[in-house]
Amino acid sequence: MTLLATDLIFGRSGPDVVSYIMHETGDATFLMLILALSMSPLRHASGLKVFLQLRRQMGLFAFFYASLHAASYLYFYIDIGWIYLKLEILKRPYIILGFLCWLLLLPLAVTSTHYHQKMFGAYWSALHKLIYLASIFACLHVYLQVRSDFTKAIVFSAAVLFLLAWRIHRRFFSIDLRLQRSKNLT
Amino acid sequence: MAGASIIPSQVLHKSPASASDLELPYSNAVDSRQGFFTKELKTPLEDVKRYCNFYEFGTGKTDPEKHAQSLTTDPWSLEVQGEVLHPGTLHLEDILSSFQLEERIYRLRCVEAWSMVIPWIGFPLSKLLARFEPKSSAKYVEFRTLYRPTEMPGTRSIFGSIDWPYREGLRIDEAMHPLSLLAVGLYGKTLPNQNGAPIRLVVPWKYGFKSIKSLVSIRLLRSQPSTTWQKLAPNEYGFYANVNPDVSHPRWSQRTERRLPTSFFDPRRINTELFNGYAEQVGSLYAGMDLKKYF
Repeated sequence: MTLLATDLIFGRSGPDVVSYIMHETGDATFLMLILALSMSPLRHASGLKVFLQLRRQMGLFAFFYASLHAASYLYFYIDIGWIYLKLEILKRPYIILGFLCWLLLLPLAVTSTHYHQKMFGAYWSALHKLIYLASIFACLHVYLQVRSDFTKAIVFSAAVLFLLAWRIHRRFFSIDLRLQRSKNLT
Repeated sequence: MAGASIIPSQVLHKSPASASDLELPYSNAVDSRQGFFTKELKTPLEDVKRYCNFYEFGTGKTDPEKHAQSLTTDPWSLEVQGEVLHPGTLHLEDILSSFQLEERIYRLRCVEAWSMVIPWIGFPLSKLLARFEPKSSAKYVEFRTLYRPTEMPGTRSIFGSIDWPYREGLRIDEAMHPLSLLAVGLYGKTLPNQNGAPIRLVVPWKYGFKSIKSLVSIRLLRSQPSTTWQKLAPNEYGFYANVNPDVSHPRWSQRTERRLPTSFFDPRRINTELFNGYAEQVGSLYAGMDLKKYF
């Protein structure tokens, strides 16, 4: 964020500020989503509780950048007129996906406090699994904008797929779980 | 003003290191009626140099400036083949010494909805083609960019989907139009590598990707050539690619454009004009054509 602001002030953002801001805030959102998704695996690998605190932080950062990204879009494109803006959004699936992604992150940011965590109990974790869907939408949002080079889209979605695969494995196929099950049977 | 005969020898035998910074002799653009000149504010040289699309050097806007500096532009030759009476090869020094250079201040509208105003130095493409005497069977012109993976990191991308070399094309009447320019410089000096050194095409009424950079081959053909972007995404990029606010790109509107440079508080969004404002000069080329079908 500071980097973004100083770039803008000192003109390092280049001549096309719209494109610069949209790309920087979009990439930052994605990076934060990936970091947020990495915290649980890191906690399990290291046993350090600090990663759980960081998870909230990263998630909030992701929402913050997503909001900047969406707000910038509206700010820069509002002058084409409401009617055109509406058409513009409805006609472009990648914009709808991007907006849905932000919409999914919204309740997560709102309910990110300890207070809500306690209040919702088991439902809280269920609700916060929405981040999985949000990251998949984010991947599609990037894919649909590729012109010729898939490198960035592939790197982003490979990271997301890996982190989701880790969860699927842990939930359904991990050795611990299988041992647990066989213990229950006996 | 200055003729081609007085090009200093350093231009003819320049060292690659300083190739992009040599003064060129040229006559000033004056004729605004023909579209050779616009009074609109020019995009600063610094921005023209640091904001480019030249995918051979990477897909980021600043990649070309970073990676094109090592491109060898000397020696350079351009071959002209196909439906011409005298096919042959021209070396850059022949080109520079045989065509009178002139300045053209053109609007450049990128298909990505940004635009610039750039003072090019060059000569009409028609003059070069005339030298090779196109046959009456020549209906189209195909252009190719240099393909040299050792100097072009973008062409080595594993997940890139472009089939190199980069190819573009024009109909012969478009190529012969006085606005179609072969540029060898901008802002009075030889082209920076990232802007298509040492010689490139500039077709101001079409989207920027038609203005192919670092030209090595021109072929005159009987039928319409396949072009890079059309081949990659035929529903998004047509062969004609004329600037047209009424034909939107499937992923964004072409109704408006951002005239660079922009700032946060001054996004300089302006309306895009048919044929990029050159309708008076080129409109007749497309009389009776359905521009929504032939986009």
